[in-house]
Amino acid sequence: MSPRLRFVLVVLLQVLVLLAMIGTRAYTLATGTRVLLETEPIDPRDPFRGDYVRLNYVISTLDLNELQVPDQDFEGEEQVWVLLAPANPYWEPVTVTLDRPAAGPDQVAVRARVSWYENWEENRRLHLVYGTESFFVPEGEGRRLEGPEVKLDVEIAVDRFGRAALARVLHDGREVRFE
Amino acid sequence: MASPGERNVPRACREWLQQELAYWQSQGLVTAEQRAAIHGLYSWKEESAPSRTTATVTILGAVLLGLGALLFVAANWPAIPRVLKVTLILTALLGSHGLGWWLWRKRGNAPRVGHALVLLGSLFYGAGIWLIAQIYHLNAHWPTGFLAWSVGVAAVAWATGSRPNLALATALLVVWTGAEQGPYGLANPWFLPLLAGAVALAYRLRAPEGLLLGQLGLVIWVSINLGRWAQYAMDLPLIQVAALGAMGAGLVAVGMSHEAQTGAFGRLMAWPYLLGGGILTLLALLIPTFLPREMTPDLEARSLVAVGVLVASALAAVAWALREQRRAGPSRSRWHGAAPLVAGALAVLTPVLVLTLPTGTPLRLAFNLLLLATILGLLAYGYTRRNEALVNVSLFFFVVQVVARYFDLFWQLLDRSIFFMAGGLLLLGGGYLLERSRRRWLRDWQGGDPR
Repeated sequence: MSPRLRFVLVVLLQVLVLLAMIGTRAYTLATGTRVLLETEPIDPRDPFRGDYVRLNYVISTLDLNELQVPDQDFEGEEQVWVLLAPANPYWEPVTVTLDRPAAGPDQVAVRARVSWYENWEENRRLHLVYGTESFFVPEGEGRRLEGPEVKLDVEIAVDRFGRAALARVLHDGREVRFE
Repeated sequence: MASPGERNVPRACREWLQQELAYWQSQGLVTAEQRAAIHGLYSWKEESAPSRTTATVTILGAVLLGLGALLFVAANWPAIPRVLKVTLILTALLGSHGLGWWLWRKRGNAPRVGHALVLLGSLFYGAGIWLIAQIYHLNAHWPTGFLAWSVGVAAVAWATGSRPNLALATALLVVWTGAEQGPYGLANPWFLPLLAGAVALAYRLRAPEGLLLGQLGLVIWVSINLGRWAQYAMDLPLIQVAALGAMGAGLVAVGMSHEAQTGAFGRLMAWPYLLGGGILTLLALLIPTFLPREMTPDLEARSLVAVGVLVASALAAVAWALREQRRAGPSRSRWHGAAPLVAGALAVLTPVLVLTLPTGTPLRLAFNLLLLATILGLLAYGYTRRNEALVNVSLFFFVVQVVARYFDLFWQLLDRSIFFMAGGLLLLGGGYLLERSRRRWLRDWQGGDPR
């Protein structure tokens, strides 16, 4: 292989990685079921991606006793599936399992990672990350979306592989846009 | 008949030839006239100062532009639509890679600017990763972004033979494992094969800076994993000192192996091991001198196995160094020949002492003595091998030890203050004398034949 061809292939690889990142997210957003979630935001900063509003969903912490999940241990960073069903107005968890659950006609199964697992006395709580916890905003714009008085709703899209992507953030029912 | 200066060789070869010619003359193999005649056959391929400056300035320019692009992404300027942002970053990536290749390899009349543009392309690639993550609000396991960036840049280093790209790729690999092990608390075993790949590429490209960064990554990986295994936070320094001490001595032994190899390659690849290993060894010996309270070593089986593996690896490196020294022939310095054995002794002594001695005064006293002896040993080795960096590092640690001991003993053992103040003054005086000697040595080295 000539050095030039080798270099061209490597540059194409870099472009493909970037396009694959775009493609997978665009696929999820285009084909996924829209799920409305309730949140409580705060506003930190990432050195590479800038300011963002950290979204803490109500379904980020699951009470396993309430969901009647059988007694079992969960490891940090382990992948789990959360079955969600529509309620009014937000979607709510039905159960959480290690293997993909069978979803009913109106339900969706979304993948999540275990952040940590609490199991003391009678309490069993599972703290989860869905990969849609960051809403990146222009520099300085996050402040108006932070604080306990701000009420944000988030619409995520869940595709048939269980991948979630953040579709829209709603402030007082209106979509938050910066462009 | 060969004409004078007809053989053109790199600068490192000149140093080696000068040393060896002097040695051959001292052994009676060549006369002074023959030495001069052999010396006269060679001319030296010096890289001119302006060309080095051009390389440095253009690389710095690429780094600044790349960091600017990253900050531009972070600012998330709303005036530019997202589609245009992605188009801009892809155009910048392809443009700088393409133009860089053209100037560096095809046209060839501005190779250093071209090389810097290829590095800039790698930085734009990283900016692209973070831009797309920002646009799609991706936060799922963000360290993977660094891994994807590192692999892409390493591929460029492999394809083009670019050392700055390899250094960037290795640095990103280190950031990746730090993020996986720190915030996410994972063992990250995949780091080791990837690091081995980076080290192999560093050897292929003759990139010592890549080796230095790789050592940093290994130190982070070992330290954090041993910390995860320890049951109690107070146990951490002891088991980590044991591991890092063995590792540091082993790395120094690897450096000695390379140093014993003839040719510019050995000398070039020796310094990162000697410098990185030297710093690590001295740091591992310094830490126990600051541990006054009672501590229990963490003797968990897997931690001990890990330390055992590191000690065995260090001893293998010592055996390699001794073999290389034997191959290179008789040494002019007895100290030089014994140096790998001293490194081997340190690789065993550090873990054994730190894990068996009672904490408190016995441990602190033993490690103060061991640190002082190692500083003096490295100083002597650095001087005899004309390794300025090693001499400076040894002197730095000497000053740190003197200052630390002067103050902590003064505060903690007030009833014996006169004795320790006298000791402190002696050490400070010794430091002053060493510094004066160091300046004389450095003057000697810079002017003509150091012997």
